[in-house]
Amino acid sequence: MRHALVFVFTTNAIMANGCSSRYVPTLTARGELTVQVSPYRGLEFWAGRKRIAQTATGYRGLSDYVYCVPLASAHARKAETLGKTALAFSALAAVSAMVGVVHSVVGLTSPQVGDPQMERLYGLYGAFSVGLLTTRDWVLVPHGMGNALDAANYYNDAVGSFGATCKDPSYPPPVLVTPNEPNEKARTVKDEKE
Amino acid sequence: MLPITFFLHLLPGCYRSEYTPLRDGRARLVWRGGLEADFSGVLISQPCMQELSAWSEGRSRNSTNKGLTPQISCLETQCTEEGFWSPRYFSNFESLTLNKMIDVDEKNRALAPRFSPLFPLLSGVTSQEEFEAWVRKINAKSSWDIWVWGFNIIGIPIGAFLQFIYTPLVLPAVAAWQLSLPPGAASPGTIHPQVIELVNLYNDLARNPRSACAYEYGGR
Repeated sequence: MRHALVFVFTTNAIMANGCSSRYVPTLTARGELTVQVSPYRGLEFWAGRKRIAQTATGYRGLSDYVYCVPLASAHARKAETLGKTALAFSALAAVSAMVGVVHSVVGLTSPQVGDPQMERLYGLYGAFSVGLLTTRDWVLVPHGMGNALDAANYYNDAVGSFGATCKDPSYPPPVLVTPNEPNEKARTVKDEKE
Repeated sequence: MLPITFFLHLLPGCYRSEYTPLRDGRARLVWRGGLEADFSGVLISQPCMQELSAWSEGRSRNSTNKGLTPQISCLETQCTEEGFWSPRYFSNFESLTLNKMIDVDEKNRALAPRFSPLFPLLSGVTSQEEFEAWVRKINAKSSWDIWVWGFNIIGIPIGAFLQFIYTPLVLPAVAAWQLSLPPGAASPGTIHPQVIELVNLYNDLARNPRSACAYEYGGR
């Protein structure tokens, strides 16, 4: 069971390996939230050139950004709670694992080496850590990401994709467009006036 | 201390969003048991699909390619002075008015646009099914339908379930199961960047009048 801790660390290190998004959206409305992948396997929410929230910080700041859209705000708050809980689980798992490692190292130098009771205790540390990390990875993280994405979608539908923000809810003047054939240049109201 | 009800709503299953995308021509990311690209509000033309496919194939051929940014820039006619894209409004698209969820201070509230921006719903798109099949293929890479967390706990007192079943039995069992997985096996929290890139790329292309995916062409 002592191998369990090593296995947990290895597995998580492999799962957390780099998978960052490489395409950065360029045509975004003012205030529109876009999603990118962080190098640490979480999501990042950007508005313009500013990062608003990310998984790594428990989506802190997301509910402040989308507060004017009630549904978005509710999902953002849920995401923040889940994100914070996931971070707490990570910390607790790390502490448990460290205590387990220290205990096992100390145990090696003690006369109780090979004691089945002690072996079981090391196993418990590992099982506790794995349980926490599993709950985090399979329950808290997906629910947090899902709620954060819902928050962004509801916010964009009402405010963001129209070029407004909650702090400055002024919409840019509309550009009316008449749909065209593919090879024609789009006629806009602006063009017609000219 | 978090109330126990907080954990209870997590139990019935992996998160499935109840969000319904608007049919406004924007692609979205939605969590339905895994991260999915949702194109349900989008009409895709054949040339547009070819453009997206070319990007996707190019990416898989060269996984180390870092220069994915296509020739999209902020054109003078469509961007604000600050460099943001100016939303487009279509006069034939009055059915989708602004979502009435905004709760901002009335005196600071500007006149909201009457029309949904972006996309006119036009008929005559022939490749929609083909496109949806293609998107499903990409989404499938990031879905974890095999994972079902749900328990049928109807009739079992939830406190007893947590105290006697979930904590002592289910958690260690799941932990043991995770340990038995090969290293690198995906958990539901694993993100596939390709799905996110596809959505971001499509939204950029749709806003670029030079692209076959541009809103101006109405999916034709």
